[in-house]
Amino acid sequence: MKTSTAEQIDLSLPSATVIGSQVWHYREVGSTNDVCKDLASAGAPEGCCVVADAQTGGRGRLGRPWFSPPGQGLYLSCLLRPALPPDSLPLCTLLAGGATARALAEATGAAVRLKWPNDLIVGEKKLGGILTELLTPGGEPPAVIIGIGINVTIPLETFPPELQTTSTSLLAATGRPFERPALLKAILLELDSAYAAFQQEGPGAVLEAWRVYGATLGERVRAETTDGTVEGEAVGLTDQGHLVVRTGEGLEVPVITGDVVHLRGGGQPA
Amino acid sequence: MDLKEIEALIDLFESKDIAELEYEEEGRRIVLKKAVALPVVAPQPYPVPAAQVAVPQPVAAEAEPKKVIPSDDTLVSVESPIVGTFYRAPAPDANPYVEEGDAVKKGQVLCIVEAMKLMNEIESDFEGRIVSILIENAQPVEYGEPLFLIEPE
Repeated sequence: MKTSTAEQIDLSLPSATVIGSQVWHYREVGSTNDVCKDLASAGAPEGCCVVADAQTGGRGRLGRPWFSPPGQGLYLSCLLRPALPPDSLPLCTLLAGGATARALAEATGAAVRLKWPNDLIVGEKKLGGILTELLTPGGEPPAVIIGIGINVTIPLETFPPELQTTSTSLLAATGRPFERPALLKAILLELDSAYAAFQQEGPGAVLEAWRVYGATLGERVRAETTDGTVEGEAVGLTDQGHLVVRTGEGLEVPVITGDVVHLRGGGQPA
Repeated sequence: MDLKEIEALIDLFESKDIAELEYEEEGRRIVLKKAVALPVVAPQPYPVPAAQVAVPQPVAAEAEPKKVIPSDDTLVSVESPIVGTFYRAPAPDANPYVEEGDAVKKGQVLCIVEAMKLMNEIESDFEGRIVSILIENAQPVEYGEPLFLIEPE
């Protein structure tokens, strides 16, 4: 893994902003999440962020690679140290999804929606992904690393063949190029206010913000879980953010992990 | 058939792997039945809004009793901090983080528990040896459920 030296960048965020209190910029890293985890283990403060121009080992769920060409995507990881019980921390993934969707939609005008739990989609094509890691070292408060990858100016034809029909970028979706620093700033500000709302108002604020951009509820879905496939209508979220799917037999099955496909949209898991 | 013989019959019945025994002699009938272990149904922690909705039936695989945790004071367990899915490896085609019998260090990653694309790498709080891995790969786990038994050094 190659990691270039870091320089701290100043985005002129308001002084009360927690997320983005430090932003470390790298030219190239293996994965921003791995760098952020190392910083977390070394005692970095809450709100510390890592951003890179390129990732050589960008990854998603279950070790799947994340296409991270230099200069054409936003690769960001943020460190949180929430004073919340560990079992409520999975909600940070919905929080990150809701905040990033809002930031991108408002900054670019793209019709960004969320596929449960937090795939950023335009139409049914994947614009971005979020992989969150929770560190629970014994005897210490937990740390949450939110990793966000956004396809910014990647031309469709340069995606690997297996991604070309399922992926998009802000450039492909809107026909316009966007500057990464402006998007970074917009995302950090939305993350910060969503995180404040989670801590002050609780899970309800996270679920409410997610629903504004959530495209999954009301859809016919197929969820590939490790327990098997669940197919039916996505009818709601539980208080913990789990997706409730009503099957043809009328059973309501909570989905906690898995790839969700919107069946009417014909989208693929990614 | 006197009390001693009945006792002997009970002892015999207990020692064999049979669920029911019926014995009849001179108009007296003795029926012995073992309490059959009911399938362990995972609690249904989710409110089910519609009144007529049936609760999903547990499938046979889930009904198998989980490994019994020995009440051995020398062993410590590693528990899941969240509700989620248990993975023994970082990717489906990767080698497991640990196997039973492995020596582990404090801070070494033992597994991942995932919920809603939040990946929780569970580290060992102890230096020692993995005595038992209590959950199968890719199975759901509850909050606080023991995942590993470790014999600390």
